[in-house]
Amino acid sequence: MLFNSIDFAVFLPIVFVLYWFVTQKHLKLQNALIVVASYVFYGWWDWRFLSLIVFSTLVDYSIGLWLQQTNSETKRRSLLWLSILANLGFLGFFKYYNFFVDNFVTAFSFFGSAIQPNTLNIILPVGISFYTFQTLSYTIDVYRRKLEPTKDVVAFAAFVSFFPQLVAGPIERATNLLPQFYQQRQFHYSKAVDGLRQILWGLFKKIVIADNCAVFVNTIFDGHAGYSGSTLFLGAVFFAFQIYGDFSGYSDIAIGTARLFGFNLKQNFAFPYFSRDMAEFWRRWHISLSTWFRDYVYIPLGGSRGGKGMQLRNVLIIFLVSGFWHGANWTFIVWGALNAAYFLPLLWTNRNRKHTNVVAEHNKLPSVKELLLMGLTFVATVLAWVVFRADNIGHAVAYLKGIFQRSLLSIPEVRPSFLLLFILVFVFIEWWGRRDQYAIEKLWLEYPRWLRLLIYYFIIMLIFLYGVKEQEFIYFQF
Amino acid sequence: MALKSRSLFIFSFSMKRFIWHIIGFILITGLSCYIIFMQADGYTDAFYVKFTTPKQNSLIVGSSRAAQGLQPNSMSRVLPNYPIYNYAFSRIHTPYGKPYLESIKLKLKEDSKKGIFIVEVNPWSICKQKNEVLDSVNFRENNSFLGGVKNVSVKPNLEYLMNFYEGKNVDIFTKKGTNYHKEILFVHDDGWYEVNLNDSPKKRDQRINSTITSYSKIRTDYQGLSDIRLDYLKQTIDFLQYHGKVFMVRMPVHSNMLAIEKELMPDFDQKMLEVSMELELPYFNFTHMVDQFQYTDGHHLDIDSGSKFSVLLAQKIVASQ
Repeated sequence: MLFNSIDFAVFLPIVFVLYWFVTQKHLKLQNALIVVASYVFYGWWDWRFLSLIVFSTLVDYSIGLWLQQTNSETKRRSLLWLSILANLGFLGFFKYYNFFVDNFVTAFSFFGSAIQPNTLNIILPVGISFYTFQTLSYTIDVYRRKLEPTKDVVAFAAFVSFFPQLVAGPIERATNLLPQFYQQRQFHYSKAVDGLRQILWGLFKKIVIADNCAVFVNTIFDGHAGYSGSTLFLGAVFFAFQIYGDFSGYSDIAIGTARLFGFNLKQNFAFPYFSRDMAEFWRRWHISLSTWFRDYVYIPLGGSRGGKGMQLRNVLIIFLVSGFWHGANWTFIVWGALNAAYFLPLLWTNRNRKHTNVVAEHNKLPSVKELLLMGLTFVATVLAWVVFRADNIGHAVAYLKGIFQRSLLSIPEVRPSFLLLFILVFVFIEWWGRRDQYAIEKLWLEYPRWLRLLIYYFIIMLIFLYGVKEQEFIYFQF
Repeated sequence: MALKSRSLFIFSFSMKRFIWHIIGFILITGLSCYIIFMQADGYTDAFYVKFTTPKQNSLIVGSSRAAQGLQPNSMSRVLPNYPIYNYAFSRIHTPYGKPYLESIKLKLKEDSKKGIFIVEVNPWSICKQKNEVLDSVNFRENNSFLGGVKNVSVKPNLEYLMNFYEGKNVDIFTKKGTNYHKEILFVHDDGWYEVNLNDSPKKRDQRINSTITSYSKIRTDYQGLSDIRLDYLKQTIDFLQYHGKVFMVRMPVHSNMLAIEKELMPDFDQKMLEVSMELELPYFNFTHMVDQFQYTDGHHLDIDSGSKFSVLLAQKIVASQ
C-alpha cells in the first residue's frame, strides 16, 4: 500500500479508530492490531511475501530467547551467525542472485568460456532491505547483551512489521522501538497534530516536489543524447530533489504516522543539502542506515582502532557496501565509491567533523563562505546522483560527458517554471526550519490559529492540484 | 482512583477535539476538491466528457478515427430525428472486447429500440498484440477506464477523475493541459473530439510522415486477427441490433496508412463482409475514397473532412434504409 494512495487514506483512519477507541485499554490487543494492520498494509502489495516477514520474525524471536538461555560463547556466536545467514540469505537471494549470476557469466565469457546463464525471474519483495536490517539489529544487540530479549512474540512481531516504517524505513533499532511496544501509549492532542503536520510535509515533498521532478528527470535521462549540458545538469539537479523529496518525504510520513499512534521514530534526514562538506552530508542523509552500518559493520571491522589506514579501509568498505545495499547494479557500487572518494580526504586530514552544528545556527542567512561550501557540496552530490540514477555505467559516463560541454553555459531547453518556483519555495521553507526535526515542525506556530490552518489548507490544495498520479517511492526498490 | 478517572476524561476530551477538528478540516478540503472537479469538461482530456453525459439512444462506437472524424452535429443535418452520440475512444482503449461491450451497455438506454449505431472497424481493433494475455476474461483494457468506470453518466465523474485522469488537477480549471501552441483539443457534449491543430501544410506533412513511421513500428507489435476480438465485434453488433439499426463502417485513411493495414491484415475487408452477411447488416467501406479527404496525421480526418465525411455517411445511411 502506498502512503500517497486512496487505499492508505481509508486504511489509516480505520486503524486509528480501532487503535484508540477499541483496543486502547489492552496493550496486547493494541499490539496485535498493529501486527494485523501491518500485515494487511504489506499484503496489499503481495500477500505471498508476508511469509518472509513471518519467518524472519520467528527466527529472530527464537534466536533471541536461545541467546539468553546459553552462556557458551561458541553457541552464542553460532546462533548469531544463524540469524545473519537466514536474514541475509533471503536478502541475497531475492536481491542479488541474478546480479551475481550475470557477473559470473560475464567474467567467464571474458576468459573465453561461454556459459548459459541460469537467471531466475525473481520479484524483489518490497522493503526486504529495511526489515532485514531492523530485525538483525535486534539479534546483534541481544548477542552483545545490550538488549534483553523479548518474551512477547506479539510485541516483537509488531516491532518487525510496524507498518509506518516497514517498507522504506527509517530502520529502527530494537533498543529504541521495541520498548515502546511494552508501554501503554497515551493519546496526546499536540503529538497527534504534530504527526499530521509531518505527514502533510512529507506528502508535499513526495507528491509536489519529487513526483513532478520525476517527469522531467525521466525525459532528460532517457533522451540525454539530445540535450545540452545545461539541461543535463538541470536534469541531475531535479533528480537530487526528486530523491530527497521522495525518500525524506516517505520518512516524514512514516514518522508522522507513528506519532499518530503514540510512537517516536528517529529522524532520518536532517536537511542534508545544507551541508558544508560531504562528511556533514553523510551525517544528515539517511541517518538510520548510516548509523546502522557504523554500529553493525564499521565498529565490528575495527572502526578507528587500528590507526588511520585501518579507519580509511573500513570507511571505504562501508561506502561500497552501502552502495551495494541500494541495489544489484554496478552503478550503486560506483556511487558508493565516488562518495568514498569525496569523504576519505576529509577523514585523512581529520576534517570530517568540522561541521557538526547546524549551518548559520544563530543567523537568518548563511555567510558567503557557508553559501559557497553548501553550493560545492551540493554540486558534488548532484554529480554522484547521476551515477546513482543511470541505468548502467555507460549511461552514467555518457550523461556526465554530456554535462561538461560548452553548452553547459547555455540556457536549458527544458525550463519548467512552475517546478523551479516550487523548488525555490521548498528550499526556502527547508532553510527556515533547518534547526528542527522537519521543516514545518515549528514554523508558523506563532501565527494565529486561523492563519496556520489556512497555510495547511493551502499546502493540501497544492498537493491536490499539482500531484501526479500515484507514483511509487524510489526506495521501495531497494 | 480519582486521578485515573480524570486522566481518562482528559484523554477522551482531547481525542474528541482531535477527531472533530480533523473531520472539519477534511470536509472543507474535500469540498474544495469537489468544486475543482466540477470544473472538469471537454478540455480535461479526450475521454472524460463521454462519462458525464446522459445515457443515449444512438451511438457511434470505435477507435479515435471515429472519435475525431465522425461529427454528430454534421450528421444531424441529414438525420435530424436521430441525435447520435459519439462513444468512440482510441486504438489503445477500445479494440473490440468485453470491457468495451460492457461500457456500451452502460451508455445505452435500456429501452432504446429505434436507434442508429455506427460501428467503426479497422484492422487494429480486432488484432492481437504480441505478449498480450487475451482470453474470455483477460483483456488489456480491463485496467483502463473502460473496465474501471462503472457509472458512465454522472457529472462530475469522481470515479474517472480520481482513478483514470492522467493530468494534474490544476489543468482542470486552467484548461491548459491539452491545449498548447494554440491548438484546440476539446470533446463536445455530443462526444465528438475536436482536434484543431491550426498548423501549416508543411507541418501537417511532417506529422503525417512521423505518424506513418511510428505506425510501421507499432505494426510489428500486432500479430494479426484475434478470434476473441472478432467474436466480441460480433457480440457488440448483435447487442446493438437489438436496440436499432447497425452500420459497419471502415473510414478513409491516408494511402500510406492503408498500405500498413493491408500488410497487417490483407483479408480484413473480406472478413468484414463475412461478418456483415452473417449478421445481416451493411458494411460501408470508404477506403477507395482516401484521396478525397484531408488528414491531421495520416489516420484521423481533419475537421472539414470529418464534417464532409459525416454528411456523406449519414446520406449513405438514409439511402440504405
